[in-house]
Amino acid sequence: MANIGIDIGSQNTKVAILEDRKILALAKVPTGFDQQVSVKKAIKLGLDKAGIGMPDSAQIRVTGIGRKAVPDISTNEINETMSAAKGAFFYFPSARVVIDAGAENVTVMKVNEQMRVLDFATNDKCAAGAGSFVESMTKALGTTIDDFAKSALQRTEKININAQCVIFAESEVVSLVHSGASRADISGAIHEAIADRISALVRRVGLEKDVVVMGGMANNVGFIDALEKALDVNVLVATDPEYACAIGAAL
Amino acid sequence: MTEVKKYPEEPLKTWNKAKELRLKYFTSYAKAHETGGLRFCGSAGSLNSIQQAFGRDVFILGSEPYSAHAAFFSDFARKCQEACESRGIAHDLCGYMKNYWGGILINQFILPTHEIVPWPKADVMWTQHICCTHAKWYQYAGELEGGVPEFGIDFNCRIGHTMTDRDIDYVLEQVLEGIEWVEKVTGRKFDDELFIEASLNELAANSAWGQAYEYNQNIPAPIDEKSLYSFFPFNILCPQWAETSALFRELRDELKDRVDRGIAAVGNERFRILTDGPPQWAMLQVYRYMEKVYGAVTLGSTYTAYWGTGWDVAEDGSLIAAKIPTREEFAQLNREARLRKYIAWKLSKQEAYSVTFTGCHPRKSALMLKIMELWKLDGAIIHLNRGCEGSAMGVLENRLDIIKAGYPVLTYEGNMGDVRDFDYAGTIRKIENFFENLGLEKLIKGG
Amino acid sequence: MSSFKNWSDNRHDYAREWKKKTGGKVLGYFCTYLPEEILYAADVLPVRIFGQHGSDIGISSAHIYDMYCPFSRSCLAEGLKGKYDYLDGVAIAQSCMHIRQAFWSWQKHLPVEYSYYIYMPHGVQSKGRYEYYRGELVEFKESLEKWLGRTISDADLDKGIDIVRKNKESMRKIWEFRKNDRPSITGLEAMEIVFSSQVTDKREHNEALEQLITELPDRKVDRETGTRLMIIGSEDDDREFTKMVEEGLSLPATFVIEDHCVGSRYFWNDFTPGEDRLASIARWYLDRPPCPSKDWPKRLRFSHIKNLIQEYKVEAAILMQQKFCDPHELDIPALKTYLDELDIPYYLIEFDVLVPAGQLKTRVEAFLETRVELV
Repeated sequence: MANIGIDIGSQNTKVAILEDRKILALAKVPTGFDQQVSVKKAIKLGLDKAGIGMPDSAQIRVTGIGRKAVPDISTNEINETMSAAKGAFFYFPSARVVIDAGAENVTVMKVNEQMRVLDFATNDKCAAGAGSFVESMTKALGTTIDDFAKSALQRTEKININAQCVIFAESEVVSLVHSGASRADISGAIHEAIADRISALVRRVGLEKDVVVMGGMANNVGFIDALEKALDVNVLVATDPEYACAIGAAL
Repeated sequence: MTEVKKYPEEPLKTWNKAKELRLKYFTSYAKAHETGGLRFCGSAGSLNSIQQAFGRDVFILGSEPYSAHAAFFSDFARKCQEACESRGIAHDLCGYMKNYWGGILINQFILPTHEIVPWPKADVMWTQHICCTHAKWYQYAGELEGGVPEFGIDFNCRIGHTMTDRDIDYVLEQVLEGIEWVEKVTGRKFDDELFIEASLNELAANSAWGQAYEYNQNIPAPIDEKSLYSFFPFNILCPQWAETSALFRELRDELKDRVDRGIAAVGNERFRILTDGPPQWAMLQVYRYMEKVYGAVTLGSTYTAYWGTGWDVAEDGSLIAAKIPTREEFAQLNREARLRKYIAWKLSKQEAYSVTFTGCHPRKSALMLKIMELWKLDGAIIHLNRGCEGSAMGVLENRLDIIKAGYPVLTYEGNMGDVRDFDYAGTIRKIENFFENLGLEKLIKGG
Repeated sequence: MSSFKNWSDNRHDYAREWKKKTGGKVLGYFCTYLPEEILYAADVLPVRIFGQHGSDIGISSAHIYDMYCPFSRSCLAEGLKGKYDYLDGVAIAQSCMHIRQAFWSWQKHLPVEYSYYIYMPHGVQSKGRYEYYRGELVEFKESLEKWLGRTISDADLDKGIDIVRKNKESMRKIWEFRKNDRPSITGLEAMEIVFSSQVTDKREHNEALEQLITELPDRKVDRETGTRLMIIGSEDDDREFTKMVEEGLSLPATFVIEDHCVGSRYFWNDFTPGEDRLASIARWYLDRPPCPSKDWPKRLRFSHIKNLIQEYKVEAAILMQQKFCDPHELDIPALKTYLDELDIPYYLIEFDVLVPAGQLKTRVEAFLETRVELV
């Protein structure tokens, strides 16, 4: 019997449909203003992909920042740390530190071999924004996220930008552009700044291997490279990192 | 749904008396001049009995508890904070003092009834200096109020259990100079008899607080910390008043009675929590949420335990409200010796000053763990307080020590005096994650 | 002059070399209220613990809350990264809570042979302060004696006092040359002189200072002075910013004086010797131009700033606010009013551990263009 996991994030709503721990379909839509509408859209998209009909509501479980917003669809909730841990274990049972880096929120969890979340840390108020920050910088520099992320690997000069506050960081980037810094160096600096902030959260729960990264930011090669340097370990990234919490919710 | 043991609940009888005393306290300060009285202002707990010894009509405002009280009225507090910021006072300075300076700037003082009266300008600033800005708060407040004279007493010596005679001498010497200074600026004389009366009241109040506090070691706890917050500030606001010791004795007796009869603060109590430092005052409903949804009750902290009273350690390792001097012991001494004894009790036994402001010292973690053990607590929730450097000092080290001892710890960000630094929805999400990861299911579906 | 820069650039290598060369012990200290005289008397090298600009300080996040100043977090981060692995001891003379927390965390996570907390009074105007701090120094000396297994005699103390006193006197002499219409040294060079004094053996530093004093009368400065600036600050060892202002702007400017602890505040007042050496040392530190955290109930610091403005013919001030440094931040509203009354334009900059140089360049240039009447 198929189970549906829904992860309502600040930017995207992700749906994972699983049967016997096998992924039947993954789908996402922008969360938008009306979460009810976007969840329904995402489910339909997923079901169409999987080629199955709507299962019983008991088989739908919701997680993520908007999980309370869709009581008509399901009140069966799982919190985001638990779904993240389950999603991480689905791919890597060796996970001990799980980093879920999304558009706005970053959560770092420490888990034991029984998949229990022992401790977790989230970004402070003044250090919000990960994926959304990269996205707005990409727009400011007139490029695509993928190209921008890759260009970080080509940086030649180390530039420092203020890692703490996104608003200030954005205005620094504008100054850097005007001063003629290369796109690769700016990209490197931005990804390094985000990686530094996230590695600080990892230090708070305690660095332990293996480190698994999920969430939209895990697709960003510039970020992963910077994070590995900041933590001085190799990290594991799932095949579909953005869906890991939705998968966790479906399990 | 999880089945939980249900304890009987009853409202607290002494509650209304605390409300009345709070109203009297703030009103009498605001109206002090109507009867020819004097207003002393400074950091709360700046050795109140010494100030009271300059006359029964001396009224003392502790600006931190006033500002915490103002923070409850978040719209009012916001006006104060914005007035400060438009004056160039940084957002990240003390969350309390922005409510205090802001009150001066907008010329408004808020009473517990929500009535707003013109700002009652202080006559004298008398304060301790315990964090690295306390005496500077009143330096600036005095300037904003048009030049109120200030006397500051440096507490940055060894205080708490390591206090030595040399440290007591340092504080005493400043206090003696302060007495001369007040006599000069107010023209009033220090009245030794009045000091004896006030200080005996003060220590009796502090001691009764400790005795009441001990009852929370019981399962179920007879009072939650959220309710303790309504009483505990009197320990530093007006402990020298006879009404305060009477109120605390009554509270103690009521808690004893509740323990005897098995009355709980929270009928669904199943997870007992240590907190740390001042909470997000305008958002105490977070505590209510934990109680209702998870049966998780906040019961104590070094904050409410050690700012309230001094503790002696018994032979079996338990904490007992510290013994206080008798009238005879006080009366037979000369002024200097009496002040010395009073200072030694306040600063060495009442360790709040040292555990809060040298917070990273292992002592604070040890005291937190001691409370967790004796009060039978299951976990800790620590406020990362953007509004107070003092209470944020060492908290992450305390967190590591408590985790090491095997307890779960949750941290949340806020600002005791400024609700703009608090994310309510995000904090609730953290709380849910925390309890659910511990295996505590919701008692109420949907939360 | 290049020695000061080299020492500032390579402080860790210097201390390691010093240990190798002398076989002596090195003690890291956290605030300039620490009596270095007693350490020189004990033949221990005191080095001030600094952070590292441009370096990630996330490693300290598990220990110090992010609303503590970047300087304190950066100091601890340097320790946790192992950059100070050569230290034999650490000590602090009590000052603000931020740096105290860095010390406590250091003590907990980076154990060394010796660690000591001196209860330096905050009440530098309080009655009983001299006696109290003297008592603290007696205990500090005793604890050093216990650690080192030797006594520290009056003769040793005289030696320590001489080394430190000479160092501070020489720096005061050099600062005289900053009063010139064309200051003989730049703000950057001045910062490097003080910074290096805090991380090297002062005997060696003294030789370099003496050499500089002989050179300065004839030193030709091949740069335009421009606007005469003063830094009023929290702790400030930001050489990159100082250099950017002096060398990187389209309008010329020179820092001619400063009030902070990597500048004149470190050495300003003269030492008054006395039979009771520790009492004299205590007096020197207590009577120094105060750190904002100790400047109450009277504001002694502002009149000192005014004197500096007049003596050094300051035309504008940069208020360097270390982010979250409450004591300095709390002085700022009153300081602004004070500077307004003196008719000194000022610009407030909040500093984090990473310097957003480009943005600051634009802002400082705009300040110089709009607020300062160029002569």
